[in-house]
Amino acid sequence: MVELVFITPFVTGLLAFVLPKALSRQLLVFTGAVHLVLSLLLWKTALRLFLPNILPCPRKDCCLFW
Amino acid sequence: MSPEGLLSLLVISLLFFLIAIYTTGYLAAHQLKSENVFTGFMLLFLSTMTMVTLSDHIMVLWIAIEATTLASAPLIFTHRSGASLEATWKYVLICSVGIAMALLGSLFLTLSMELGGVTAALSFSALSPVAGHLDPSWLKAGFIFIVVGYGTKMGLAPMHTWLPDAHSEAPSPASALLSGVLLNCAYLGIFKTNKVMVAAGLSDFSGTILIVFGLLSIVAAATYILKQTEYKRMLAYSSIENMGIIALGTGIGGLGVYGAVICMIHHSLIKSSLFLSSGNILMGYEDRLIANTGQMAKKMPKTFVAFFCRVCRYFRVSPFWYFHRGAVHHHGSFQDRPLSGSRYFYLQPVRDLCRICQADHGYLL
Repeated sequence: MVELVFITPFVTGLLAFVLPKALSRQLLVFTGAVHLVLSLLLWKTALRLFLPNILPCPRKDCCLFW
Repeated sequence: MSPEGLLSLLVISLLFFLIAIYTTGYLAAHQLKSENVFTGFMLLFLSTMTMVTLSDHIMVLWIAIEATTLASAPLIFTHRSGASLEATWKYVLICSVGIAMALLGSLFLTLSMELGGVTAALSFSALSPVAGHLDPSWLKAGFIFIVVGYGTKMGLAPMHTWLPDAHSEAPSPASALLSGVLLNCAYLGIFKTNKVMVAAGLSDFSGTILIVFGLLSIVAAATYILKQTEYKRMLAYSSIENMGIIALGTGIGGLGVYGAVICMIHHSLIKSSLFLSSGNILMGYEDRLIANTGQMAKKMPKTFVAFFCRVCRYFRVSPFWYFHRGAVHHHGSFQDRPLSGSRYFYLQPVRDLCRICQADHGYLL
């Protein structure tokens, strides 16, 4: 799922505001590793979109992300 | 997904992971008061940069680039000093005005679609095949505003004034991200729009604009870098110069674009590592001035070796990649745009001499 690549750091970023300092440091490295793996998956296996186009668009081929 | 977006995403991912590992040690050593805020915004910054690389829609790209400004501003203000407040304010103000220009440019693109009777989706990949039908006047106007707008974010002169302050006041991990990754995201907007211009048969116009901004950035950076007394500000001006080279290569076209992409990748890797090394230097010497950081080989030998190797790459000493990037640029510039190529050729020794003079200021001795 392509959306995971940017949603994951968004969610963990919000979590980092409330977690203890030691945990948030670990979360930073963990998110970096997950992001790297997802990016490599995106490159190698061409992950597909999960969510449909969320905005109404009169044109049939309108797409927010590629 | 566009190849340039995927390439940028891979660079962002790799760099962020390595910077995150460094940041854990940095945070343990510095004990920042607002550490949770810093960590949270680092991750939000990563999210917004990822959106930039993934987006193909013109307006989603714009929203994502604006979001990177909002996500990175608190990182610059981490130390809560007067200088960092000023740097943050300049960054937000100048980049927001720039992004507003880019929005105007995007609107002009849509206007060129309306006047040309084009009904394709508002995405770069959909516009390229039908670019020949776009109204050329509004397309040119849109491109100029987009170059000025995203060029502000990229650090092209004369819109670069926020960059030295922001990169020097931010903590080293944030500086590494700002310099190594954020500038590439802004460049993506210009690159994608340039692709549409080339498809529309207006490559001469877009190339000239990019060459002018590129040369201006190189000259401005090479001039100001001589006056710098702080190593972080010097690295920041070096980033401006590299962005100028990237714009120049993109404007030249052909083999020059290949050189520009190589430059982009290696600037990201090398500049980020230089900023991380500067973090070590700041921790060791507790001083930002180049003059007060001498004899590093004795005091901090590992940092010295790491820093020196990366500086050698910057001096384009073969067999480092920067040498080959420069060779590709030169070849491309003479092949595709002989007049610009000759100007670039004569600027190179001036630029390299400036760097050597800076190194001689003593932080390597």
